[in-house]
Amino acid sequence: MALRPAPPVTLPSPCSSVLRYRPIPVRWCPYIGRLNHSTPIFARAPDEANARSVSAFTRPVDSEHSTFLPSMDEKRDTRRRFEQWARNPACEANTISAVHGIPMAEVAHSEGVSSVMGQSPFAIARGLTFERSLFRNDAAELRSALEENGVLPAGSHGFSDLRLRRNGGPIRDLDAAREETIELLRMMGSERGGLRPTIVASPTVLIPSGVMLPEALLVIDLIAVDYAAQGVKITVGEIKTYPDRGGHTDSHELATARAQSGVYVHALRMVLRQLGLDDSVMVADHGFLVLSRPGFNKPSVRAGEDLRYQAWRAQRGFVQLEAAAERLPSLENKADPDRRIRAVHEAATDYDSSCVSFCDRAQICFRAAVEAGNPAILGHDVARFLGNIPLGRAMELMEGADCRDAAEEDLVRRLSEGT
Amino acid sequence: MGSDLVIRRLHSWHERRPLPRYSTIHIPVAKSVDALVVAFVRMAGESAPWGVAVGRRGAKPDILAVPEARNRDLVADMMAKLAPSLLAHFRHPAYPDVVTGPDDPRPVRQIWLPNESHVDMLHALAYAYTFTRWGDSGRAQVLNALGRLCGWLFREAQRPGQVAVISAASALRYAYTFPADDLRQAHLGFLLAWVETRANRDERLAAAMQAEQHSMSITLDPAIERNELESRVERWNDANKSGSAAVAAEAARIEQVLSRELLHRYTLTQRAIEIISNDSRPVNVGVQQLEKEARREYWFQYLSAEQRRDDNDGKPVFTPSPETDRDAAAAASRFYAHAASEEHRLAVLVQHDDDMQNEIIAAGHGLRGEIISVRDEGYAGKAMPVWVIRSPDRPLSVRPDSKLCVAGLPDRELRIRSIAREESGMLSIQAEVMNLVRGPRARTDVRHAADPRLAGTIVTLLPSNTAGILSRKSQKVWERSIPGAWLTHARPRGARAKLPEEVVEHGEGPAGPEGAQ
Repeated sequence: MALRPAPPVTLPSPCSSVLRYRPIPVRWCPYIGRLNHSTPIFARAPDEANARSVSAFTRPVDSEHSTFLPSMDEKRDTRRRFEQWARNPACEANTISAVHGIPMAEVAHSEGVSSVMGQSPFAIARGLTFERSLFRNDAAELRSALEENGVLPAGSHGFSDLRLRRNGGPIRDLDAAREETIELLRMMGSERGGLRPTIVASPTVLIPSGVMLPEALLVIDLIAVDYAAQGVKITVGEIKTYPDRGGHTDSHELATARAQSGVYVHALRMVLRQLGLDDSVMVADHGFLVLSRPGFNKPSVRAGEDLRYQAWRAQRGFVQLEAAAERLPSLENKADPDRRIRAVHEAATDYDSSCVSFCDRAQICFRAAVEAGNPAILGHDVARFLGNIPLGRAMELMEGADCRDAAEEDLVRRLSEGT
Repeated sequence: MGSDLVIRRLHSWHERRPLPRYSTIHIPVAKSVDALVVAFVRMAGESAPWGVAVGRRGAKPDILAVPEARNRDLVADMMAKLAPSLLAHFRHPAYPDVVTGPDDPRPVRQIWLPNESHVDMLHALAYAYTFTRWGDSGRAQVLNALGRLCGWLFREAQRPGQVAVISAASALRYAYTFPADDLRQAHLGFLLAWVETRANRDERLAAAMQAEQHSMSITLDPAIERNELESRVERWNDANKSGSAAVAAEAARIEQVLSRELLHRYTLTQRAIEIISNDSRPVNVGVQQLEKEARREYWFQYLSAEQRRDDNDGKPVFTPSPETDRDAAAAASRFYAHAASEEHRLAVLVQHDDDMQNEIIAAGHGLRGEIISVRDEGYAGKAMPVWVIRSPDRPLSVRPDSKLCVAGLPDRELRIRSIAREESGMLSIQAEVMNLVRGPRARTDVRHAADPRLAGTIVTLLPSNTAGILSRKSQKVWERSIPGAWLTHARPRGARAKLPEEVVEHGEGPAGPEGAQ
């Protein structure tokens, strides 16, 4: 569409005392490059603009997704793979990818499709910076927010940092983090005195059963620990850097964060049981989310998040995943990369409209679903409405084709009643 | 999604194109002077804009951008430059175009945004600037005004039936049924490709899939940030720290990328506006009622407070927090106000839209049938017509004692007395005519409700407009002299009710009944 040129400049001028902000038309600004000079835009006089140097305040970067690990560690952190599987467990290709840790981006690349699911470098940097700011000075700011929201009792103390060095922590690698976590859990459960941290950053656990191949390692964002007289209680926390906008915070994002926390609750319980500590250390049914304040680099804590159902979901999911993993072809970790990719490529797929949001191969599967007349391309509701009747056959019925069975007769009836 | 929507989507796939939804257009498109188009982009992870495109309907945009979106000062300067455009458009009292009251007859001013993520950006701006004191006090005042406006625009965007804040993608989804799943329909480019491509289904689908590769949200495609912007921003930061002359050149390069992205979002929004504006369907007559309601909301929820503030008489003016109302009465009042808006929207639009009537009947909220018999059970000279209506058996949310009105004659209200299933499989409904028994005086074509000649006519009964009751409730909930008010009207206190200073509301409290209009 051809747009008209911008209309002649009619600069709106403040005419009251309230907005006494000196407007001057600006054509070029060193901060923002060239401007369209027909713009009804105002700038401060140059002397005012320069009075506060641009570099005087540079807010630290942040990101939507706090957990960032470099590629090797990322592959070992199986929470992402579990969530990937949980988004479409009916897809065999997705299950193979998740269980064997074969990135869909690589499979898509081998099929000539470029990945569109990557993370922004700014988001990654923002995540790291936000986490670092939370854990700075023995997590002083975070502790204050947790105490204010009742996650920790007032006057709590003790911080244990199990983050990897590359994330600003003191730990060498994930194996060391896991050993330190086990040691810490044992210490929590023992009657002896010693280190009793109330905030633990990045505790790392290995899920006992062999669900994920070759291992199932989970890096938890943080836990808060309460050493009350009744026993030790661990509360799982999840850090996200997207803004907490009260009741308008993205409900889908919140649901994802709760689901992740539920996985951690379940995993911690499994580990405590394996260590024989489940009598002395309990994991709370409620967790908390640490989000950022919009426009400010400060934490916003959402306490009392009910994670019972998410933990059950994780428990059920791991059982199902284990069963699915047993049915999969054997692929050793060191198998030929091409063979691993081929295994995903050759597996059956089950397109779902939600695939668009997480899978690099969604476009390929969508095209295949269109050709196959899979009603899922029009959404869950249409797929449910048509049942086992392919889209092409539904179109024929809409054009007046004779019904072949009772299901088709029922569909024709519903189509006629609904219009 | 109801079965009627599912079936429409199937029809749309069958027809190989988007199908018009409803027989009238429900979204008014303002003229160029009254419609402002705004598109944002942000740096991933940030809540404030990195750049913004703003312009009138049909005009080229003005583009503002900063080289470093993490620099709070730079962003604040940019938003202070944007503020006059938005404030003047919405007739802020600091600008010459004065609004005198809620009945100001001029058209409603609109802001069009590409999709819902851009509407959310208004909320982020309200958070950032409503109470800011950062930097120069003059700039802070402008930003405060911008924050308050954005806060109201965001709140208004949540009200059903509002016509001031329009997401282009939502408007298209509302006006057409697309042969695609809900997730894909969030993308404005995808929707436009379906509407604009004049070819067969495969080509339309290919165009739509091509279009959805380009991000339309406020967040840029990560590949663009990674490949085109990351190094440039880094170089700009280095040059800026060292005071190098290269800073301007680097800023220009960054702005070039952001301008391209902004222009894409802006142009697509303009195209969506023209598609809706050029649609051959008539604009629903009821839209005038929605505009009237929008003017009242604009006045009572935004402008009157701005005018009081502009009077500068020293009296405190309540500024709501972008975080929460923190007042049970205020929350209850707005709940009823929104419920009333939804009732009002349905009631005024459905009378002039056959497809919408069909949708309501398919959903079971109304019914259509033949009047089998008419009898008058009146006494002492007062008529009490009772109609027996035969209607196809389908799931109904209508129950005995439900109030319905006659399509095309909204003031003629009926109370359902009974609903029975006949042996023939049809429903037999007895309904008593409560209002407008004689018919409107100005119309001679409407028969008396007790006229036996009505037997044999097909009548459509729709939910009656209860917006008035809900509006009155929205005012009555402010009443504090009631039993239990100490509990229901208590304002939250204690540590958990404490808001951070940057978002705490100013003033004595919400505006009260006036604000609940």
